[in-house]
Amino acid sequence: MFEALKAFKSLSPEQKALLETKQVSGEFEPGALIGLLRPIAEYDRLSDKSRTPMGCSTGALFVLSFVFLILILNEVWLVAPLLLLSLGGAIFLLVTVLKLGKLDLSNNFRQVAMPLFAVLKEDMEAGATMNVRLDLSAPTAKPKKTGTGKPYKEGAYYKVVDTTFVDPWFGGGTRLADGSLLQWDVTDDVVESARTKKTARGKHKTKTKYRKLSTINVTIALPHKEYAVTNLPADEGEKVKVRESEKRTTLKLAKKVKSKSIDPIAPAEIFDIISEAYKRVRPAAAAGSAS
Amino acid sequence: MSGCECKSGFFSLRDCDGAPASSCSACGRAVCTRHLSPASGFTECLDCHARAAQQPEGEPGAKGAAPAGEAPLDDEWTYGARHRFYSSGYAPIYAGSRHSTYYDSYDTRSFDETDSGGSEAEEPAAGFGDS
Repeated sequence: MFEALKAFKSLSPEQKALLETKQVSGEFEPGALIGLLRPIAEYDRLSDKSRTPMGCSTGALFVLSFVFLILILNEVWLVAPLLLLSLGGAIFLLVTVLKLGKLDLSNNFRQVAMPLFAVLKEDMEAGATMNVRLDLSAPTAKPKKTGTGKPYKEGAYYKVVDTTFVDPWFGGGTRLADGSLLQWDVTDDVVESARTKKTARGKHKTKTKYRKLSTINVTIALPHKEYAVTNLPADEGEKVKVRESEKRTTLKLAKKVKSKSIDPIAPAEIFDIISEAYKRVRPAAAAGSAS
Repeated sequence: MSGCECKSGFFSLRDCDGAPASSCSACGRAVCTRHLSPASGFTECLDCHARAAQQPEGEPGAKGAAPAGEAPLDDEWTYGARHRFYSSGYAPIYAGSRHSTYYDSYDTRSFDETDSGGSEAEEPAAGFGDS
């Protein structure tokens, strides 16, 4: 807990503002962008790690306070300072947990966007910049909600309510060191399914399940000077469109990744689809190489 | 050899412009300061250190995945991810002029491969050619 609070305190005003708005957009040098976002990612990691134990401790302290209160009502005055301490601690922890929860970022940020920035940095010339649009808010944040379906029955669940969200959380573009122009866009379509059933003991229990469809679109314009295009069929789940122009071959690739959780996709899914473009080309004739 | 012998890039490889600062204790290549691995105590190049520290095949999180978002995402991580990505089957294109056999194990595709006409059919996994 203290690590998370310490990490939060060490953030610059700019980083704290990003945590509040949960939006990153603009033109950035990748090293500078990683430098700006890394402390935020570290804070988010520590915050994620500490929130559950903090929540449990808060509950335990409130229970303890209640016990002390009963003892005081039975005229055991010795525990009065302990009541103040435990109640104060519980309130402090509760406020902290709520504050950390409010500043929580989507795990897409740490587990997908940051690795992509690190990889693209390696493929860019020093000093080159990338255009980035990154939404760090949760995939099921209110503004991303697109609708709620009518309740229906399914098996043991007498009431299932599906809520849909569209999360176009990540996009950007850059010029790579080989002269290629890269653009990417990732959109998650999320279905949150609240399922309620009656247990054998007569209790009503609701659990929430998620289904997610991530659509990754990549456009890469490869210069003829460097690359010659070869024909390759699209892999399963992928779409490839090729367009030729005077100076470049433009490949548009799309991939859909389904999952039964709200967890982030593996960053390798994005690496794979970019690499699909490079698999479809071979080095241009030796005239292009200086030796 | 005048420059750093490591290659920059992830999806395509290119020559490094850095001036050699030391040589890698594992492969013996001349390496610039940027391509020396801090985790090895600056004795190995990032490539050799990544190869030595590679995850066992089939382990979740391979192919460049950041383990649960906890990776520091420095050059050390990037070269490890690059090694895992190439080891998973991606053959990078090399677009430079200083050939090296170091990257042959990744089936690197280079300009020379296209020069040799029918050699591609004979050696589908050809790496850098001798020039």
